Parts: sequence; C-alpha cells; structure tokens
Amino acid sequence: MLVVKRMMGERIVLSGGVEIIVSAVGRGSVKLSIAAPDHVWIVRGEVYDSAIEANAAAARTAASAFPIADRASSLESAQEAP
Amino acid sequence: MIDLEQTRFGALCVADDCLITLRGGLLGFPDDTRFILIERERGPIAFLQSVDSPELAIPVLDGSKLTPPYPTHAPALLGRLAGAPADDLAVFVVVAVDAADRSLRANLVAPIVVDTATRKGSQIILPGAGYDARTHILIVDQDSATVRDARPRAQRSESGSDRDLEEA
Repeated sequence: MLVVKRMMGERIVLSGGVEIIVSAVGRGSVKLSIAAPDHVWIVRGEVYDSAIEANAAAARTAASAFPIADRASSLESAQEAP
Repeated sequence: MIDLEQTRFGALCVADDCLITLRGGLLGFPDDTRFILIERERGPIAFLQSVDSPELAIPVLDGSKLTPPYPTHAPALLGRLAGAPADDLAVFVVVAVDAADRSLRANLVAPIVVDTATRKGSQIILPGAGYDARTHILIVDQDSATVRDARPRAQRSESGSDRDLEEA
C-alpha cells in the first residue's frame, strides 16, 4: 500500500498509462479525475465488490439448481441463438 | 487433451481447441484463466467449467439470449475493454441462484467477453450503464431469458449504478 500526500491539481501516475489528478477537495470528499487508455476499465470500489460477490454467488450455485448439464460444446454452438 | 477429475459434471476430457482463455481470470478467481463451456440440452443456461480448478463451475447465460438487448455498449468498446478487438464477440453474463429467495440473478455489471475466433477474452466491468450485479431474470424458453425488473433505471437500487462516475 502506497500512501501519498497530494495538493489540488497534482497527479499520481501508474504504469500502463494511468494518471489520477486531484481535481477538487470538499468537506469529507475528494474529486479525482482519472485518465487511462481505453482498454482500462474504471469503476467505483462498491461496483467492483458487487461483481466479485456475484461471481462468488455463482460459484456457490449448485448445478442441481438447473437441469443436468449434458455436453461440452464448442463456443460456436453457443452462438447459434438469434 | 486435458483430463479433469471430480468436476460437478464428473470426469471430463477436454480437447485443447475447446479451451476459452480469460485474461486475468474471473473476478475474484484470478488464477482460473482456462475454461470450457458446458451447454445443456435444455434451457439457455450453460456452465463455464474451470480447467484450472475442477471444483469451480459458474452458470452463465449468453447475453444475446437476454431481453431487453444486452449489453447496450458498442461491440468495439466491449472488445477494447476485453483486450479482444474482434468482429465476432460472445458476451456471457454470470448467473446465480439467490440463496434467500431462489430467484435467478444475473450480473449485468461484469460480462465475460470472448473473441469467438481466438477463444480469448476477459471478464470486464461495464462503465456507467446503470446495470446491476444482481438483476432478477426469468428463463423464458430454450433460447431466451428476460430481465424481470423493468423499472426505469433511476428507480433501481444504487448498487450497480455509476451515476457519480462521470465522463470529463
């Protein structure tokens, strides 16, 4: 964990072309502007956590919740639906 | 060929050209990068079975089988986010049965996007679409499912919304 003190308008640069700028400071909150290449997704931590939990819930979902899976298939056959 | 013992589907023998490779693994399962898709004879739900961890298999739904159309993002953006800038992308949503009420929940926030030609892709998080990670869905028939909660976006729970994440 890196802890760094920054003033308004100052930046932090991460590898992969990611820059974080402190763009506003309010009472109890800061506004950050983030510049990143377009292959980088940026989401709030709560959204990330919800995605992690959804995967965990899926992994806990028993196969018996659905009718028995029958066959390994190619990706192509998964695409047959309109 | 790869032999998998003790999956929930029994022992499986996997041909190398069936492998789906997810860069970075699944969210929360970073070490699981190789999967196979196990389809069922009935219903639109398939399973992504990890080849790296035989005990890990997650139910998924082909996004093209979902109503209303999903996702609303341009394919080019999906491809860039997934590191698979391809013409033909498969989009899967992760599905779970809610332990409390047995309802079917789809994670529309974080689809798995795969280039169908190379079978490579990743699980991405969609920026700012107001999707929810626990969207209630219903299976309609063999090849389709529908979002049950059709209320306007503003009335949904805030858990999946990105309304304070703005473009500048």
